[in-house]
Amino acid sequence: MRRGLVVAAAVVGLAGWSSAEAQDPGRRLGGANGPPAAAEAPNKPAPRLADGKIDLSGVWTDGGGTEIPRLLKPGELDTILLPKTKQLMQSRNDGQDPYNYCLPGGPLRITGGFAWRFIQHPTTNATHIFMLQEGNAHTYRQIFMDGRKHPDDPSPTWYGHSIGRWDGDTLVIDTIGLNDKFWLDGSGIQHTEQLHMVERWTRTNFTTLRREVTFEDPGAFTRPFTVTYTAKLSEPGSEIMEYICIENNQYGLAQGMAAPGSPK
Amino acid sequence: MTRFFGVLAGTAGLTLALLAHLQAQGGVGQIQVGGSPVVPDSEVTSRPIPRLPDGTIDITGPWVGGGSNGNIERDGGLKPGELPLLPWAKELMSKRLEKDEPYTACLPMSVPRVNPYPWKFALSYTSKGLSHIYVLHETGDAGAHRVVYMDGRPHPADPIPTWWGHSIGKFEKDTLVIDTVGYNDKFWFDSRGTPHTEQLHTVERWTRINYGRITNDFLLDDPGAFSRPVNLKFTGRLLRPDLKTGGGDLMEFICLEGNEYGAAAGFTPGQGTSIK
Repeated sequence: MRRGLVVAAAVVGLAGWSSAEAQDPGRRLGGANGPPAAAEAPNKPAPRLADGKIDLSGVWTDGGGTEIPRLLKPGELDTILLPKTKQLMQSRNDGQDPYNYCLPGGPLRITGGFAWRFIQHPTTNATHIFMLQEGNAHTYRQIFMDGRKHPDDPSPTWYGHSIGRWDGDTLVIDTIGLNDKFWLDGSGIQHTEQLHMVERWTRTNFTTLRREVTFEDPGAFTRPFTVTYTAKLSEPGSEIMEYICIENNQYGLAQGMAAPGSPK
Repeated sequence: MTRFFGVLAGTAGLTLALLAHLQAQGGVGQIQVGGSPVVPDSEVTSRPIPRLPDGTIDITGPWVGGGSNGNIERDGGLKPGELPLLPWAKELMSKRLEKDEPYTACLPMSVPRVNPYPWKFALSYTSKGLSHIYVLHETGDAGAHRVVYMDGRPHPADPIPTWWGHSIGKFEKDTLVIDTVGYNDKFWFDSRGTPHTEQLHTVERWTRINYGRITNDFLLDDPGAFSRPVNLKFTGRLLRPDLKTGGGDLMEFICLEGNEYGAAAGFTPGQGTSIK
């Protein structure tokens, strides 16, 4: 009976199923767990779909997990945060991160938690691009590629309203309509519903995705700022495995902690 | 993005659906659970069946229905009692209570379960052609996805049991055939609690019969819980795409947020629902 290994898979969220990892269910969730990276291929170009667009497919890891303060110059974050934002962040601790309660991590952190994928759908001139995440709420982010505009007054959601277009070989994703419930990044940066994110995704070579993200939020930040992340392709044969965060969740709900937003 | 039934598609949606189920238990008023607006019968042939640029039939949807919900026999075209459950399975089913269905605690609903909210096939094209088809549900745990491998790979010899199983698919002319093994036994086929075992093997044959409808010819083969394989037939209806208030795309639904029924009510998912 594979019950023991199933629990390990649910807790550790392995992709690419290595037996060494299967024997160590004590490894913590999140972080660098995920399938092994593909061998570097800096001279191998990004592949293209039949319609000439860059093929973003593949199983990727990272590309949004590094905490924002580490991507800024020393002291720079302090000049970006409004006083009220700083104050709010001081009282935050890991135990309040909704991500730990299987609530969505939001558009930046969808690349965290093991492996993730882009889905370009359908064949030629994709009308939608989805981002699928192995970890966290095991959910999807939807990017509309059909030229539509943002709604005038979107209902705030965890992933927001995303519209995308190609700028040459760079996928540009513009997102508004985000709620303020998720932590922007792992360090707990606070944002408001005014947050506007612009991402520029470039597959710089076969195994590398560069993601330049500009954050603009007059309710939380003194000015827009831009940071750059890198995602790496996983080795061939990798797949996103099933991971059900709420099943056998030992951290949040099972310890009696109410999920943020739930009635007490 | 809002639509007329937007409030139902939000976090209140699942609670309302359950209240509608429980209305027979008294003390709860009737609530109209409209679900999602679909192309009506009168318009199912109003347009030709679309194809993708490479000629593949477009089965994207989004669709509403096409599987089991409250009663897999009724939903699947069988007479009451026609499902050939083995005695132990019938007994287990008689003890199951609707309120304990794992799906209501934000665990996956799996196959062939659907609910009144839309889902779609997302065909993942790569430089090597169609590699995966994902089934994206608007609701059903915190935004579920099911993966169907379209690259010709076989099933693993001994798959680890999972909620969604291991699915391999291919197109036979205009029918998408999905073969799945490796299911765990934790989900229910319907809110009555129709059970199954890890021996479950399903074959779905999805055919878009016209613009507005897709049929799912479903083979249920589980010698652990059924005395013989069973054929069921479900029909999915196209989500109406042209409403001013929205529609045509999946909305965000986070089951766990504000969940007042399962998790937040202290119901621990997985307890009392496994047959082991």
